[in-house]
Amino acid sequence: MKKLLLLAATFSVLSSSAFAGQKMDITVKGMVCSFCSQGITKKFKEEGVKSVDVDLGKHLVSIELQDKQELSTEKITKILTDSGYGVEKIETK
Amino acid sequence: MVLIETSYQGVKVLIKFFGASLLFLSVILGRAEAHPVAFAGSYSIMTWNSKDMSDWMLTHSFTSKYSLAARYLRLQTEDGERTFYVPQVNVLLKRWNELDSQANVYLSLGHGGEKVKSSFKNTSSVALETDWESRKYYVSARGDALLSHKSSDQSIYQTKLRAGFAPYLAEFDEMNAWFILEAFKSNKDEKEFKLTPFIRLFYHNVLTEFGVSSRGDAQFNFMVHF
Repeated sequence: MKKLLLLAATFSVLSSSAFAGQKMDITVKGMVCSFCSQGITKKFKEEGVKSVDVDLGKHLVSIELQDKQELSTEKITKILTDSGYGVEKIETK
Repeated sequence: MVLIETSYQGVKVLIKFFGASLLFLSVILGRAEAHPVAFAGSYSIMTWNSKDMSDWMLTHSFTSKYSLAARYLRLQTEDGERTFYVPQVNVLLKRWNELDSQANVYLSLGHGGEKVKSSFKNTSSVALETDWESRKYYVSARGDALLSHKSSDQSIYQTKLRAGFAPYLAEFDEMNAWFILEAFKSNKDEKEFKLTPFIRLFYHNVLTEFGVSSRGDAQFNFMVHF
């Protein structure tokens, strides 16, 4: 019974992570002003991402994709370039 | 320490309240202002207003480097009141993006008219602007020329220098406050030089500035992009 419960719990965790949206941290260059950074959130939302968070202190834009959504590093770089910024690094969590 | 923290929070609350009031007023008065070039696909409205000047610009940024603008400018000069209507193109010539700072050079070129009685005189405009900012400090310099095709005596040359600092580091979803000192000079101004301290407040995509010059003239600037 214990093994069955453990198996069910494992399956539950695995299945939820398989469908959960991917999270990414993007370190952005030149992002010093929240007024000027509004384009970043607007552009990512236009791409249909689930959430966008900006941390000016850490120079970080954190995005969470929709389930099964894909966003290439080239596309992410283009979004930030179109917003007027540079990309230092992109990390997938 | 607790006292300092409490005072700091108090200042932030006061600034937020003042900022909210200014934003409310700006909406009521219907005033607005915008950057020369913003993010690709964006629209901006910007305006600078004082007793001697009313400068309005509606801008559309096609990319993060180019924008087109329609500009209306009314100036009170030593030659009397002058009004210009100038379509212009704004170009981001160069941007330096660093982790803790950003620097820019913008060029604006326009050709339009100055309204004189019921006719228009050809006028060209050129402006060069450069700025550097971090989250804590800001400096900028701008030179403007409104070139009259009829007479070079009628041309207007303006220079604007600015420096500012943020009293606290605001995060993305917080009200930002800046103290800015502006030095302004124009060849068509009766007095040579004007100093104006400004308080700049912005929240999300709306920015306002309010200042009173060394001559006692109030100035109100507003910018929004969407």
